[in-house]
Amino acid sequence: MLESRNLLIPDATFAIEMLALLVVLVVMTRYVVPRIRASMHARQQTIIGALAAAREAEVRRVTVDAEADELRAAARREASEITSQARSMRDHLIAEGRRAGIEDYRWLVGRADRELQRRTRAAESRLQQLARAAAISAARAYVGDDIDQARLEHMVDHHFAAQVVTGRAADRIDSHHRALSALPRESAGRVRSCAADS
Amino acid sequence: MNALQVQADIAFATLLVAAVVLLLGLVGQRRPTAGVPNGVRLLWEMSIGAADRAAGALPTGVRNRVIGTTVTLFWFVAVANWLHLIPGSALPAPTSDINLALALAAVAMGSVHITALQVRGVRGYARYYLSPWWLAPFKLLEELIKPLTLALRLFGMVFASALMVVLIGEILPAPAAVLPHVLWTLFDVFIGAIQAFIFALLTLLYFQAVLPSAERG
Repeated sequence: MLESRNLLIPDATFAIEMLALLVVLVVMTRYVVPRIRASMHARQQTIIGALAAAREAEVRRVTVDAEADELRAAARREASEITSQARSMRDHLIAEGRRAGIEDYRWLVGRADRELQRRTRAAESRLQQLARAAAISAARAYVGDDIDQARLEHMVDHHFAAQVVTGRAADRIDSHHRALSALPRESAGRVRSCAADS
Repeated sequence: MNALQVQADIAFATLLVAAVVLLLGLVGQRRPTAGVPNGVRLLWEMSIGAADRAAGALPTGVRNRVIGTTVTLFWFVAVANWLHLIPGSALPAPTSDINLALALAAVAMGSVHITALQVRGVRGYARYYLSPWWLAPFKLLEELIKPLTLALRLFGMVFASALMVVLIGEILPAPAAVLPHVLWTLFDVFIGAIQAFIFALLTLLYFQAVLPSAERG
């Protein structure tokens, strides 16, 4: 081949190759490359859109996170206030209940004391009546019929009255002793010495 | 020497290259995908994307043509350069013949000037060469030299490469020629790709030189 022709001079092969090349070029530039470029462009737009959507979602996420933080902080504040109010209400209710309980207790104790005093007085009166009747009948049996009934009852009553006064005085002395024993020892001694002086 | 002579092997190899490039193109554009491309599609998208970025601010109307021409020339030259490297192939690299190199250069420069005429119009095209007027002869000379340099560079490199294979076979005895032959074949793959890249890049630069930039209006 090297000896047969000049390598730098074209021949009719040039025309065939030119034609083939033009056909390839036309097909490629008209149909193939535009379609591939269009799909590349569409993909690029899709990616750009997806990136923009991702950025927007990121911004929204940050905003929502901030809102959630604010809501959490507000809820914590509200919970703290509610807890504080509940504590104060609890303390108030406890104090109120305690005060009411104490009042009820005092009222009940007072009523019980009154009832006790009433019953004690009734029992004392009954006891006095029974003792008086027993004393009168005993005195009647002792003295016989020499004394009239009215005088006998008067004497018994007089005697009973003296006993009652003496009993009350003894009771008062006992209560003083009990009060003194409840005091501290020094105070009790001072009170006794003052009482002895007086 | 007959100007009407047709070299059947070169012509057949060129038609085969054209068929391969067309087939690759049709396979590549067949299934546009919104996802990650692969296979032949990936090759096309990589080369088209690279050409798109290298093209810069070209007028929108001719962008497809410029990028299409550049990418097509790249793959055509690359496949033509690699054709003789296929194991068992008796076909020569069609670019080792001046006919295809000249045809490629003619098509490239023809496409450049036709596009420039369409974009600039006849007056604008003439003004581009006549301003300043005293540079017009040099510009015309440059336009004549461009296709020649394109064709001769490609032809020279591929022809020299093919010649090296023949020389290795002639100079060295058969067992000793195996390793240099393998090494040179690997180097030939690299040279084929580089030559295709240079051809396509120069074509793109020639397009950019004569077309107005879209940024400048």
